[in-house]
Amino acid sequence: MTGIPTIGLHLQQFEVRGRSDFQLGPLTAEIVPGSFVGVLGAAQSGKSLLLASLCGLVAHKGKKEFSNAQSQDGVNIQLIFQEGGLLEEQTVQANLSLAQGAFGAVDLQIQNALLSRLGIEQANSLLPRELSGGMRKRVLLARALLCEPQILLIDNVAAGLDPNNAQKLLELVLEFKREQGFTLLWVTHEPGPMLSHLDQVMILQEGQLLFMGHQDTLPETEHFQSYLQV
Amino acid sequence: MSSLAQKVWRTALRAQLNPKLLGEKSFWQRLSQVGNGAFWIVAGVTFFAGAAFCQQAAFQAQALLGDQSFIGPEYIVLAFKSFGPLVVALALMSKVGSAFAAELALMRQNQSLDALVLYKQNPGARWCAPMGLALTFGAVGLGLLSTVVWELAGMVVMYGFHGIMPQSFFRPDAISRELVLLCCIKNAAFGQSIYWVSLRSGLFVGHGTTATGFSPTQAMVRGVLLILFVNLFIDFVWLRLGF
Amino acid sequence: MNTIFHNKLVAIGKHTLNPVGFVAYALLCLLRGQVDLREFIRHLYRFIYGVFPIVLMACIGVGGVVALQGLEYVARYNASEVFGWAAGLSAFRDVAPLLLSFVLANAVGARNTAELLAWRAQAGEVSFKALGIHTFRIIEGPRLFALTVAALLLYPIAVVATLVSAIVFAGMVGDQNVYASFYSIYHYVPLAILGAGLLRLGCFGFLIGVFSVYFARTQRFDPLSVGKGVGRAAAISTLLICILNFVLTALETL
Repeated sequence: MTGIPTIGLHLQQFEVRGRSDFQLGPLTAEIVPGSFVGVLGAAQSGKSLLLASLCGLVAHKGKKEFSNAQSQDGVNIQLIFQEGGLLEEQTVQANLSLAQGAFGAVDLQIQNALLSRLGIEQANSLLPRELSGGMRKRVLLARALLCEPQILLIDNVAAGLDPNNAQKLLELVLEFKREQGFTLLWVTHEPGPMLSHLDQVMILQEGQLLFMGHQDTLPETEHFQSYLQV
Repeated sequence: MSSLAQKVWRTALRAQLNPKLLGEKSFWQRLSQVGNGAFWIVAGVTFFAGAAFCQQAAFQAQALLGDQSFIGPEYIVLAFKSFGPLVVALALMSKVGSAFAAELALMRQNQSLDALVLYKQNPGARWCAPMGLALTFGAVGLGLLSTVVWELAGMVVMYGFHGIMPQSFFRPDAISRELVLLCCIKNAAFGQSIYWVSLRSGLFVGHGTTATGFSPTQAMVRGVLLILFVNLFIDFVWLRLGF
Repeated sequence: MNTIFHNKLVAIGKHTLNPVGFVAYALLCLLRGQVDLREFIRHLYRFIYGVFPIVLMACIGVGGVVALQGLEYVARYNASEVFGWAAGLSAFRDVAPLLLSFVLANAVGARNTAELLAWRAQAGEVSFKALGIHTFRIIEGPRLFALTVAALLLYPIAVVATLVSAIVFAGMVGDQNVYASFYSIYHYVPLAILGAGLLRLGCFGFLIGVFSVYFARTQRFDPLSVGKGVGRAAAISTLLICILNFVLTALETL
C-alpha cells in the first residue's frame, strides 16, 4: 500500500447525456473505498459513458462525491480507454512521459522499472502500431499506473485478448491494486475470470442501473444470471 | 461524446490568438510539416500550371496581336493576384489539410484526444492551434515562394518555345506593394480555411474505420469549395476597394 | 538537402513507373472486355450524382475568378465586346478544365481511394480472390473508366455553369452587358475548342481514376495510412494533371 488514501465514490441522481441523445441515469450508487467493481451490461447500455463521466471527460448532472478525499477536486482518477488512446506517431516512452508529466515529474527510471515488471521492457522505443495486442494493453496499464491513480477505471481492455493474456492482465491489475490500494471499476463483457475477485457488480441496461451489489446476491433469474456468463 | 469535440473545436480556433496557450515547439514542428510536406507538390503544381498559362497566353498574343511583349507584366501579376495563391491553396489542401484531418479523425477514433484531456494537455491549444498558425504562415511563405517558381516557369517557356530572353520577360516593375499584400492576405485566408475544414472534418468524424478514412475526403471537398469562395470574396472586396 | 532531393526522386520514380504498368494492364482488361458493364454504369451514375452539386458550386466560384480576371483586362484595354470571348476561352479550355479536374481529384478520386481501401480493410479483396472473382473486372475497372467518362460528361455542365456564372457576375459587378457577352461567345469562340477541352477532361479523368485505384492497391489500410493515402493520391493526381495540362497545351500550340 502507498501512503495515498483509498477513495470511495457516492453517486446520487447522477445523469449524463451521450451521443445521439442517449441518456445515462439518473442513477444512485455507492462504491466502497478500495473495492473492485465489475461494470456489466450489453452494448449501448452506457458503461463507457459512465467511466468517461466519472473521470470528468463528459459533463454530468447530479451528485458525484468522493469519500475519504482531502478535497473533492484533487482526486486522481485514471481511465484505461477501450480504444487505447495512445498517440500513434509517438513512441511508447513519449506516451508514458506525457501521462506521467501531467501528474508529477517525468522519471525514466520509474518508467523502465514498471515496464520491465510488466514484462515489456523492450516496448520503450517502439511505436504503438509496432506492439502486439497483449503488449499494447500492458502499455495502457503502465500509463495509468504511472499517474498513481486513486481510482482506476478500465474500459473493456481485455477485449480481443486470448484467455491466457486476459488472465495475466487481470492478475497484474490485481497485484498493483493490492500494492497501491486504488479503487477499481472494470467494464467487461467477460466477467467470468474476475468473478471471484469482485466486491460488487454494477449492471447497466439501456442507461439505467439494473443491479448494484455483491454478485452472490444477484437474483437467480435467467436474465440477471446471463450477465455473469462467460 | 461530441461535447469533447465541440470543446476542442472552440479552443483550437481561439487559441491561435493567444500565444501563451500555444506550444512553441509544436508550432515549429507543424510549420516544418507544412513546409516539407507540401513544398515539392506546391512547387511542381505551380511550375506546370504557370508554364501552361504562359504558353497559352504567348500563343494567343502572337496569333491575334503579333506581339508578346505585354505578357511579362501580365503574367507576373497573375502569380500574385489570382492563380498563384489559388493553385498553392489547392495543393496545400490535398497534401497537408487532408493529412491533418486524417490525423485528427484517428485521434478521435482511438480516443487519444480524450487521453490528452485526461492528461491535462489541452489538445485544442497544444495540438490543433499550432497547425492553424503553421498553415497560415506556411501558406503565406509557400505562396511567396511559389511566385518565384511561377515566374521561373514563364521564363523557361518563353525562352524555350519563343526565344524570348528571361531578362526581358521578367518585369518586376509590374508588382506593386498592394499586389504583394493581396497575395499575402489571400494565402493567409486560404491557410485558415484549410485549417477550419480539416479541423471540422477531423473532429466531428463518424464512428468506425471507414468514417476515419472518409474524413480527409470530406475535408478536401469542403476545402476546395471554401477556397474558391474565399478567393471570390477577397477579389470582390479588393475590386470594391478600388485596387 | 541532396538526400531529401534523392529520396523525393526515388519516390516519384516509384510512383510513376508502377502506374505505367497499371495503365497498360487496365487498357488490356478494357480491350478484352474484362470490365463489368453493369458496375460501370452504376459507378458512373454514383460519381455524377455525388459530385454534381459540388461541381456546380465550384463552377460558380471558378466563374467568379474568370469574371474578375476578365473585367480587369476589359477595363484596361477598353474592350468590353470581347469579354465573352475571353471568358469563353478560359471556361472551355484553360481555367475550367484545370480547376474542374482539381475538384474531381479531391471529391471523386479521393473518395474512390477511400472506398477501395475500406473494401480492402474489410477483407473484401481477399474474399473476392478466394471466390475466384476477377477484382479488376468487378471493382477497380468499372470505377476507373466510370471516372473517366464522368469527367467527360461533367465537362459541358461545368462549362455552361462557369460561363453563366462568369457573365452574370460580370454583369452584376462590372456592368458588363450580359447579352453582348453571350453574343461574343457565340460569334468569336470556335467550336473546335470544345474538342480540346473534352480531350483534356478525358485525359485528366483517366489520370485521376488510375491514381485513385493505384493508391488504393498499394497503400496499407490502417486508419492513418488510409487517411494519408487518400490525400497523397489527390496531391499526386493534381501534380500530374498540371504536367499533362502543360504537355497538351504545348502540343496544341506548337
